[in-house]
Amino acid sequence: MAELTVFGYLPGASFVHQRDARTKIAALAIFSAATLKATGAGLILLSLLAAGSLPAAHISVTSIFRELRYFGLLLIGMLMARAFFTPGNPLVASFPAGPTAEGLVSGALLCWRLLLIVSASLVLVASTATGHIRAAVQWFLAPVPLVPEKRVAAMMGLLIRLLPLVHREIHETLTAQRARCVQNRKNPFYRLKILLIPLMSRLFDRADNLILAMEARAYHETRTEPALHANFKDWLVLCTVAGAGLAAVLI
Amino acid sequence: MSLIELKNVSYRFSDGSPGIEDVSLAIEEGEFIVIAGPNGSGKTTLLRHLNGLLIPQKGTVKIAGQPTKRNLLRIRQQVGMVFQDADSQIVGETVSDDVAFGPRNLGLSHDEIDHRVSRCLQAVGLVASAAKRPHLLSGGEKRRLAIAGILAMRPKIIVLDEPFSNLDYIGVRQVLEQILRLHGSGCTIILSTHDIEKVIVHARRLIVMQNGCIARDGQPRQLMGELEILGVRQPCASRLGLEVTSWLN
Repeated sequence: MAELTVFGYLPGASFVHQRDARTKIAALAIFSAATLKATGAGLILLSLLAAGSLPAAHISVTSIFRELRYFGLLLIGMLMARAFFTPGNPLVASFPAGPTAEGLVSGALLCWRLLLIVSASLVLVASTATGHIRAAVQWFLAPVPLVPEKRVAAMMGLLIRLLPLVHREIHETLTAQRARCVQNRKNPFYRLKILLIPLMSRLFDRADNLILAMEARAYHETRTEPALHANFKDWLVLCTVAGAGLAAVLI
Repeated sequence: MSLIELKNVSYRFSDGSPGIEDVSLAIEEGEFIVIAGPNGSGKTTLLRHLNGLLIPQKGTVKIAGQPTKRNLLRIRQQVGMVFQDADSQIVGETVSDDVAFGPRNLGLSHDEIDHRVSRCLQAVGLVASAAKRPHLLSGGEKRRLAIAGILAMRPKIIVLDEPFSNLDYIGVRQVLEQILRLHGSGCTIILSTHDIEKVIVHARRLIVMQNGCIARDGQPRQLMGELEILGVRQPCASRLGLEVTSWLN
């Protein structure tokens, strides 16, 4: 049985699942913009909002942390880079080339913001069927001149659809290599090379097969997209996120 | 006019390796055909020509009189294709979403899509799994989902590429029952396999492929003795001089 991840849609009937895809995309955009502007207390407010949306979407917090463990490594790298390369007062006076207090604060804020935006994006992806996201993107782009909204929406939909496949392929390739004691090879470049070559080959195969399957079932751009319905609760959610975002920027 | 007509069809892959070579074939409405042959004999390449996934480099393929080179949308509605790897055919994120994929592509109304999805899920016995993620289904259920996905497009012809591969005994029986039900309802069935034992008793015509060409085309009973020379395993019962029986008995 395939392992399932929160990088793909998790069917459900939670409050967040029931919201219109356009509402969720607009809320994510407002949330992300506010996160980039907010500091200290504002980020705490936005963190509470993000933390509240996880159980409301029936997503377990532990699964988010499990899925984001590799992303955590990236965050640590960014934090270190900021800490070491931002000018300011060294944390250890006797080691001037070491990390600075200003760099550490700036790095921590950057990581916090990124983590919030990624978590909110996961809530969107996990609670919204790709077809609905595609239809919503198409709806947002339709009034924009010279933008082929159907094609852009289809590409976004495919990208979101492929994310869990990529994750699953990485997991399967790693498992197969562990079964042949890859952990005994200490050279990280060698391990990266032997992971990437079969992984890319399998991913291209999967992408080819997905396209063939779509073509075989008469896929084309002028198809019937899922119906989108916004109601009072959607407006309420949007106003709440906008209010929280504004408050987070102002405080 | 036959429902499917192939005239001198040849196809070579981009790396120069031959796919099929000068294949001519006529298939009538309501037939149940098994296409057998060893790996690399051209079965999948031939089947993909029927759905317009491959367009012949030489010759013509016509479905109900229409060349597959033109009007691909109509051809793909008429010829439903179940792939060898059921996982690769799943494009939806839930079972019902996957069944709705084809009808959405046909531009049907939302009501009609919902109606077809519920009818097809009922037909393959997957109503209870409608909201499940397809990857949680068993192998046999995934294959039935793939069948439901094409049934929702109401095709006249159903092409199944190795439909029993990677299935356990129960899965094979479930899929076989489904195929026979479809044939009983008037669909033309074209099925490829390298292991004919599971299905041959139900077919009225057997086509054996070898090196991209049709090596034999006739009634299964008449071809039994020649199968192993052509790289296809003869059913056990037939080897022992007994009558081949259905896997459903």
